[in-house]
Amino acid sequence: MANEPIKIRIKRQPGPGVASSWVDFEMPYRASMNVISCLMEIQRNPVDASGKPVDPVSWDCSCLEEVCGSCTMVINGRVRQSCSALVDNIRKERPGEPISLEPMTKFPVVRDLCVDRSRMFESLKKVKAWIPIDGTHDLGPGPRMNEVDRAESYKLSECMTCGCCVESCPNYNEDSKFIGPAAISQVVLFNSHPTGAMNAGERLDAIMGEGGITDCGNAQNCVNVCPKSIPLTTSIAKASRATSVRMITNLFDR
Amino acid sequence: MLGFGRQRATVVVTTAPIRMNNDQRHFFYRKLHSLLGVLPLGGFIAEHFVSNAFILGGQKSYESAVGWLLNMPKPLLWTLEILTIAAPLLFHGVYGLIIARQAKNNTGNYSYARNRNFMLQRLTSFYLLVFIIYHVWSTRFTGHFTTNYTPDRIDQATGLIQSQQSIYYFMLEKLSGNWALGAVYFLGVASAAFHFGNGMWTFCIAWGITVGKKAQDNARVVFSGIGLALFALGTATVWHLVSTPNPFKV
Ligand code: SF4
Ligand code: SF4
Ligand code: FES
Repeated sequence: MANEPIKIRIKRQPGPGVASSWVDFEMPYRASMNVISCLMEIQRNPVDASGKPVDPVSWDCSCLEEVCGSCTMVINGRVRQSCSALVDNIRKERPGEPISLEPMTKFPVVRDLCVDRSRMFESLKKVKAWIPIDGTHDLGPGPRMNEVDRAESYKLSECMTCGCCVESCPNYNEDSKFIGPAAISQVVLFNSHPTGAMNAGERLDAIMGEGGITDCGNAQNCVNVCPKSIPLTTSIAKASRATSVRMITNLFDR
Repeated sequence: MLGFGRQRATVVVTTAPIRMNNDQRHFFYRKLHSLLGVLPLGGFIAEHFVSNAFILGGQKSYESAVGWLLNMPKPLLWTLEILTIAAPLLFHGVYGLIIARQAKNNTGNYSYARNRNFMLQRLTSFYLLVFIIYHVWSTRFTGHFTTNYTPDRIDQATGLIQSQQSIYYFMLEKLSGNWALGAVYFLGVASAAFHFGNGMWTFCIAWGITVGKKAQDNARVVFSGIGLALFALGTATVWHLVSTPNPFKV
């Protein structure tokens, strides 16, 4: 089976809000291919498996080394990056069957495998996932962090907003306003930074409402699919602790 | 507006001292739903399973274990029942349904144990809702509790209570030899034990008690153990009632 032609089945959609359909493609095997190189092959020779010419397939990618997150799609039913999905490996998941490629299901499709992940960006804006240091005067050097906290923060900072976690999260869908685990984890990242902590309350307030921290149901898919192995469920529990404490102290401090 | 007539002071009456906006209300309801699941509901379920397991020791054992409840002055019993069972259960159940409706389960593609438990937590809640309505209706409202339980009617010579007055025989009459109803009860016991154990585990995350992975893994062991123990107790109780012949049956 090793050198057999590569069969790919792609869920295609010509534009936003229109019906999708599956189209089969086939191409000769070359060693060390990944899903992106297969898609490039289709772009060079846009014909379906029966030889009929079709529109080239659209997809997103940029870094090609699993750091930008833009190439994320659902491959063989599981969400992941297509640049690091190697044909030799993913063919073994469903022996004898074509590799299936679908756009992520939790975002509006722009075309074929391209989706619009604005909802994730909106969530980051909602939780103020930044540290406000812009001003008219020099604020001086930032405070130092201890090494343990720095190492933990570094892990959280690896998030590339790829969407794997929210794609796999049962509570993140068009019926819910859930901001998802990635944004919650960013709250933990920025609140644990000595300068970011000055706005910790605002970020906690942002997740203490509809779509916030309480909308996680602890299915823990997110932590299982995150390509950067970010400890999302630990972030969720930390944010839960901080918001629970805030709720209780609010009762007595106000 | 300035006028020539008499000026009247306007009295502003705040009718609601605590007014929450939508977001605060959402957060509060979710937290309340989570908290009520542990206290009082989780506590009650554990108590209920343990005291009912005294059925295994027969009539005397059971009736002395639950006697304090049955002998409680009625107004006190009703208040307790409403405050610690009925009201929390109603809120936890109805609000829980709203939460469950929002999930799009995906255990097909993401068949992790945690994801399956997430789905099971919701499935068991549907069964429990139906089962508990039946269970409460058939025992509390149309059953023994409505007849007058008077423990001084115990036959001093035999130590036994006559069928109509005995809560033990009331349950036996329902379940003895009735394997179909036994299965309904078994599913109820299994669902409740799972929902309890898994719910306690997620509660610990939702309140930030278990934060790290190790802590969450340890909590899983603890609550699986408690859940399994409750499951075993409940199953044995149901088994006893189904498999014991009813001596009053004609
Ligand atoms: S947390 Fe992980 S899965 Fe989620 S967006 Fe960030 S990198 Fe992707
Ligand atoms: S743990 Fe929470 S955020 Fe992660 S997949 Fe489950 S419900 Fe979604
Ligand atoms: S192209 Fe950047 S992660 Fe795949």
